Amino acid sequence: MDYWSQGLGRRSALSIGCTREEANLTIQDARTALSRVVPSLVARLDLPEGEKLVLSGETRPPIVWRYVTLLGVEDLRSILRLAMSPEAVTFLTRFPGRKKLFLKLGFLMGIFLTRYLGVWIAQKLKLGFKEIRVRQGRNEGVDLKEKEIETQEKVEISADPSFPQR
Amino acid sequence: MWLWSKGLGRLLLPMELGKASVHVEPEKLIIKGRIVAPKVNWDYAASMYEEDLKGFMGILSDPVVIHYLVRKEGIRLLVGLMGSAVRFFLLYLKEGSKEWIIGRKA
Repeated sequence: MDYWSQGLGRRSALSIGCTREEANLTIQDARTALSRVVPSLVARLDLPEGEKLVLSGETRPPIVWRYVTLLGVEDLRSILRLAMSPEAVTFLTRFPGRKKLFLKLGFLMGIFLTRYLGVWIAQKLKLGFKEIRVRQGRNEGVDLKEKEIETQEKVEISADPSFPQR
Repeated sequence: MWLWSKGLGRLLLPMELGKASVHVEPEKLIIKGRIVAPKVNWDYAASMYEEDLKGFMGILSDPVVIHYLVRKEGIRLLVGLMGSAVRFFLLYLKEGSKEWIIGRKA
């Protein structure tokens, strides 16, 4: 991806590698992510709150700079929205090798959706098992308490001098 | 999205992708927007080529990203995405057939 902004001045665009091999990928809060790269700056920056997806690495030559990109859920949603916009469709239909690219992107989207569904189901099952365990634990706790009360009553009765002893 | 790079020094640039516009060029998609922050009011443009689109889909499919999204969004995102994917496919067919008809006429 070629990134250009007014602040770069006369320099040409920064070339940021948008592949899994070129970028480090972690989930961290902004403070932790930036303190690894620029510890001296963290206190002075106005940082976003909460966990973010952190993409970091070095830009491609000729300008090799370290970079950190913080992406929230809303940003990822916006990216997906842009990727499925009518403009993206126009791009795909006019692209020289459109069929190949469409199939490749469709395949990757399929992987994303399948993995997403798989992880969601796995999490639901995990939560379900946890809930069952908690309920079982609670029931066992109630049984133990009832047994405890029963024993205590027996002890009290046997200790009572007015109770006829054999 | 926030971007920091060595050349920016003490600046962390916020980019509102939701407000960005998309422009189509023959071999790239250009995302354009404005960065508004204290001391900053800059235009930005990110050009995405074929390799970038594939690469970014690869990043999105990474287990780290998927776990993060599932934890934060649950099934809602998936339902929305399915709808968008169907709409995208229908649009692609419509646009594709238009291109095909134009090609036949030419």
